[in-house]
Amino acid sequence: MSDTSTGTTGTTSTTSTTSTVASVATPQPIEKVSIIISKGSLEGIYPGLIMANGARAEGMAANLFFTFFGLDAIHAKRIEHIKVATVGNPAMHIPTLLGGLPGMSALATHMMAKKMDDLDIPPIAEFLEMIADTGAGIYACKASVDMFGLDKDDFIPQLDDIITVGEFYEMAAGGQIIFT
Amino acid sequence: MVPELAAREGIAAVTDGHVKVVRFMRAEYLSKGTGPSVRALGKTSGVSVKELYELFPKGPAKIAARIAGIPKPKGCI
Repeated sequence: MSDTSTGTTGTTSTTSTTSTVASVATPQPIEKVSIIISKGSLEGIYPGLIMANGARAEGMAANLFFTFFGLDAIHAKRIEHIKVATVGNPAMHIPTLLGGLPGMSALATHMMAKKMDDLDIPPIAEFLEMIADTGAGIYACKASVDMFGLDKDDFIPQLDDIITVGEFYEMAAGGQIIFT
Repeated sequence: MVPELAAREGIAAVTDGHVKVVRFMRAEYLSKGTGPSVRALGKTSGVSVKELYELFPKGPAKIAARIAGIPKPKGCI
């Protein structure tokens, strides 16, 4: 999808079972990931955070980019009110009409928060603090920030900068880009 | 033995901090059967997440486990 060398190695290693070829390429480790978070629901935010944190734990460089509704995850006030989407989500296994009732999203979020707490998965604000402490960069997309009429003061202190798409690509150069 | 093993992981100057984390990992593994993840390390070892990454830039739990001679900790957080 993004890099040249990694895609085909899986198939080569399975087909050449005998140890005849010296040129069987070992997959290159990923050195850097740039993870984009574009959604503002709980289930839209956590995967990117877990991937960024996990990348740092593996010794990779990692940067997080928040765009569109993903900005809620780094918005100083909205960060405490991130909710699970209960409408338009078949994997919730509840009828859409029920999911739309007042309080359903809050209820589902509450249940999930409890489960996460049991598993020692930190709340989003604490998770972002931790991710910043790992040395990962935290960035906001300029186009979205402008569109929502926000500025740097609206965000959590861990935000490194508000950057353009061009700056994002410069920063992502040589690594993998993951869009969530 | 920590300095020799740490050198193989690219850590040139071993400090008390490195030794503390490696010993802690080993003790946790021996008592619980699994080493702590970075988050658990940061909460229980007395070394903050920030300091852990300064000591082991290539992954605190992963590298410290290798030096401690224990399996890589499991867990996603």
